[in-house]
Parts: sequence; structure tokens; C-alpha cells
Amino acid sequence: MLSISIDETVLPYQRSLCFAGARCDLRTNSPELVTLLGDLSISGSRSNSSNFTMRVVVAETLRDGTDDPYFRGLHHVVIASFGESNIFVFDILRRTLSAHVSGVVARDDSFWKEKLIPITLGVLGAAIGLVPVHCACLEVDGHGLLVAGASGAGKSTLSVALAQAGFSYVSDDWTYISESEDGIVAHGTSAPVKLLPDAVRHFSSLQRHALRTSMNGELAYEVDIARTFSVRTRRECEPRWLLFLERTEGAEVEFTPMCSAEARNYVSAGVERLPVRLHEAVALRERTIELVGRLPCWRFRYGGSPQFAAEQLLDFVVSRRQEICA
Amino acid sequence: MNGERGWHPDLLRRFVATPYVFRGGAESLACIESNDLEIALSLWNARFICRGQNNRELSCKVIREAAGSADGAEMVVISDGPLRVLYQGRTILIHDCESAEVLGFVSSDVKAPELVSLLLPALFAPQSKEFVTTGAFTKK
Repeated sequence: MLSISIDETVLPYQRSLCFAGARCDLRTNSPELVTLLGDLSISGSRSNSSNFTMRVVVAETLRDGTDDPYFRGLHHVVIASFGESNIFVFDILRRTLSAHVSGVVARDDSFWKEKLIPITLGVLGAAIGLVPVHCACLEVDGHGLLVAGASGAGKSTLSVALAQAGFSYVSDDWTYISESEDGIVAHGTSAPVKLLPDAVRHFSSLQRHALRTSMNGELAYEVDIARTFSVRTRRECEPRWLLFLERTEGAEVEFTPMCSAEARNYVSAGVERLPVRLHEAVALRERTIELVGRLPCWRFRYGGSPQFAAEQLLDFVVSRRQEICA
Repeated sequence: MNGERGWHPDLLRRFVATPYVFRGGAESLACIESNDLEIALSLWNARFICRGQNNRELSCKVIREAAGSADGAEMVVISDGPLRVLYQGRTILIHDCESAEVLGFVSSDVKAPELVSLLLPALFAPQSKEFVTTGAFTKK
């Protein structure tokens, strides 16, 4: 039996980090992990007051890489494992993550960036004032645009096209929303943009990259958007509009206003059901979802290329901005 | 939205129905829930006596998994503050000593007597002065 005691006396290295506006107090026995997570930390200008603690024991002698993920949860505790050596224990009530990982995983930059940090924000989000919303987020001149839609609707492809058309990219798949003094803030993470194989038809620069199997089993390009497409990125913005994507056959676009109840229902449907005992976290989450639902909201039906849709959206946003300024 | 809406996928198996419920009286301050009668009975017959903080009732919720195998996997026990987690293959047991709760998932190849006589004692080991059983457990 391997017995691991995660005690601060055996975790001499510490650092204050920030992910999606949430402060994270890291303690570990690995200086390499401190450096790695420090590089992924994003000092948001509007970090919220909530925080969580991450305590990670690194077993340097273990060489195991990550295996398929396995998740289970009961009441306030969620367990995630990636093979026998890499076990993560989330305590939602106490806002802690306790972990044991191999030396190999502690140095695996992409594991933390693409998997563990998004998972942590998703699991602890409700307790730390973050609502994960299944949408892309882009920003132009301080105005944020949330782009929602079912998987396969083209959020990521359109995000890249919008970024190439002059928007700043925040996120392509999951955006973390928190309350601020004067509304809501949308946060991205440093996770790569994920594009399905047919995206190479629209973005030739993807030819230099290899397809790989993503965490949900899909074959996809997972690339750093700034490096691959030379576009601007931002880590947070204030959302002004919410769009729901729907693909159509012909090369046409149509904007149809939607009611706030539909927006709220969409966001609510995407968040994880929580046990009754986490009622405070549920209430906090509900308040943020209510604020998201108050955003002006449209259904955006489009066909044709993502570049064509991006041009139409840019015109739409410019006209909406003029309305705001008027 | 509240925590009871049915259209969220239960990816973590948090909301598996546990129809087998045993609640103790004066001698055994236990509440045991499971989706597996054999597990529930074995836990009940082990007669937990909780002497945890504030003499709180021990709550025990254990889910039998339909699949999974320990398959020679090493048993790993992780302790951090009030939480202690035992992990072996697809078996996960959690003990929160502050809230006096035992939560867990037991893989299909683990027999209920093994859960009671081997895995739970390993989970409780450091708190053996707080948790004593009069049944299948060895009194420490």
C-alpha cells in the first residue's frame, strides 16, 4: 500500500497563482511544478476575491505518464485520476485540490494547460464564483462577444476566423464567467484552440500540425492560436452580447433576437448538477447565470465559409457598438 | 435551476439511486446507503460506531460499480487534512472525518466482505481510535 500524507510541512514550495480570475495558493514539493504553473498563471486585472488551494505531492521516482481520465464524485468530493500514479482529490466545500502525481506528469506542460487547469475550474468553479459556459469568447474594443452553440456548430472555427478578422481571442470552447462590481467578466484559460479535421479547408496553416486524439476522444488539431494564426489574444473581457450559432446550408446569415430565458436555460443546461448540500455554491452560480441571461441575445444562422460569417458578425458588432455609443 | 433537475448528465455518478438504507439506533450511530444490498448489509453488520467530532452520526454512502477491476492495482491512500482517500483500480473510498462521512465507489470485482475487512480498515487506519467496529473489523 502506498500511503501519501499531503502535509504542508512536506510541501516547502509555494506560490500564489491566478487562473480565470480565481486566485490559487499552490503548495508543492516540486520547484519545477511551481515554475510550470507560474508560467500558466494569468494575472487578471479583475481577479475575483475567491480562491482555492492546490496541494501537489510530486513523486519524482515515478515515471508514469497520464492514462485515460477517470472521474467520480459524491457529495462535496470529486476524484479525477489519470492512471494509478496521478490522482486528484477536489473538495468543493473546502475549495481545495489535493494531488499526487508522477515526476513525468509534473513536468508535462500540456497536461496542466489542456486538462488539469480547465478541469479544476470546472469542478471548483461553483465554489469560487466561476460559471463554466460552453461558448467561445472574443473581444473587440473592450466589448466581449460570447458565441454559444452545440458541439460541432462551429464555435472554434468561427473563433479563429473572427480573430483573423480583428477580434481578440479569449476562448473557443469553454469560457468562465464571474461576477464583477459592475456586471460580469468572461475569462479564458491558456488551453489551446481545438479544431476538427475539416478546419484545414479554411485554415491552411493547420497543414503544418498533426491531428491528435483530444480528451473527449475526438480527432482534432489542438494548437496555440496566437502562434499558429498570428492573432491577438486576451485573457478576459466584459461580455456585451450572446450569440447562438446555427449552421445552414446556403451562404447566408440571419440574426434573430432571443429571449433571456432561452439564454439562461442554455447556460444552466451546460453546468454540472450539484448536490443539494452545495446550496450556497448553487445560489452563487444561479446569480451569475441570471446576469449572463440579461445580455442582449441573438440566434445567428449562417452558412458558407467561417470567414464569410466572421465578416457578417464584424458588421453586426460594429452596428451594435454604435447603438451602445449613441 | 436547483440541484434536482433531471436533464444534466450524471458524469460523476453522484446521483446514483441508493435504495438500500439502514439507519442505526442508540448503539450504532450509523446511516448506511448503497445501491447494492450486499454492501449495505455488510456495512450494517460490521456495526460502525462513530466517535468522531461532536459525536456526529456516521454517514456512509457506497456505490457498487457495474464494471471495473482492481486487476492487481496498487492500493494508494492519500490523506490531506480531514480527507482520506483510498484508491485501487476503480475502487475509490473517501473518509471525511470532519463531517463523519464515508463515501465511495466499489468496483464490480470487490466482494463486500473484502470491502469491510480490508479496504475500510485501510481507509480508517490513522483514525482507528475514533472509528471502532464490533463486527468484522478488528478493534484497535
